[in-house]
Amino acid sequence: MEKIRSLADLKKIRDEKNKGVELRKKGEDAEKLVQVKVAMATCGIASGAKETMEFLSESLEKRGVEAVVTQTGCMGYCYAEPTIEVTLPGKEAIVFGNVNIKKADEIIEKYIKGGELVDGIIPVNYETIDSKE
Amino acid sequence: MSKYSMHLLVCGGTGCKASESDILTEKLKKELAKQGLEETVQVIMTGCFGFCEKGPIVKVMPDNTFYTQVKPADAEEIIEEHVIKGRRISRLLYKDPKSKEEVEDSGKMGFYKKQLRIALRNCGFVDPESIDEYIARDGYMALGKVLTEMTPESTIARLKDS
Repeated sequence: MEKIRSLADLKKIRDEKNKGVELRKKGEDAEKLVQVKVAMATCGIASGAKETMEFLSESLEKRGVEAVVTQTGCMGYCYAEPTIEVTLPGKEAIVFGNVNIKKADEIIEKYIKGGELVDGIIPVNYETIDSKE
Repeated sequence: MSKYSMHLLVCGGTGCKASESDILTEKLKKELAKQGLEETVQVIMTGCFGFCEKGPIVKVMPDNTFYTQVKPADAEEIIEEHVIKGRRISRLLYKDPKSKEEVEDSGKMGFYKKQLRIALRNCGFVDPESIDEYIARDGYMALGKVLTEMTPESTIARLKDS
């Protein structure tokens, strides 16, 4: 490791190494960030959910959106894979179907950045234990 | 740049180590390698989570899942169910002693909710053997500030005020 000779050196190391712990920090206050869940069951993976997830995490970071991208199990919409669930801070979760890379790009630009709805929304027809609280 | 999309934080405190958390860490790494996920999921041995009675603890980030009393034999299930399929393993979740309900997120556990960690804020968050992770969390920043921006008098005054 290089020697640290000034406060600027120390800050530089801090900023460089921040990437390594960023994911953990985001997890701690996920509720304040954009949360994206990618359904990663067999049906999703077969339809390209892995590529969608990689694209989402890379693009969100590149475009400066603070977001937590996680994977989840099958949401039950196997006919519309890959499916993703997007929760903007303080808003209801919205599920999008058939999210290939092109669709994912549109969702980031229009919905996540601008709050504008795009085609491909799957109306939620289930309840979770969390929403019953 | 690391491409890790998930971190598994395994407690390396005395209590958890005595309950085989180091064997668990090795098994988790082995299972990840078996699935070809060693570049996607990072396993980190952290300091004490402060919840030794329920150790060994495994915390999954960024979804904040808190697993308690994890045994080396559970490693395979954690990788196959949680990491690959995204399904939480309910038998390993913490159960609230009063309501008997499973708590998925450590932020919602009564034990942690009332805590405000200051000196120990990085404990159970960083790898204590990595100086980079310490610096990433503002390590040595106060020292840097004292040496470069403050005078001896103002430092002493600040200490007395605190």
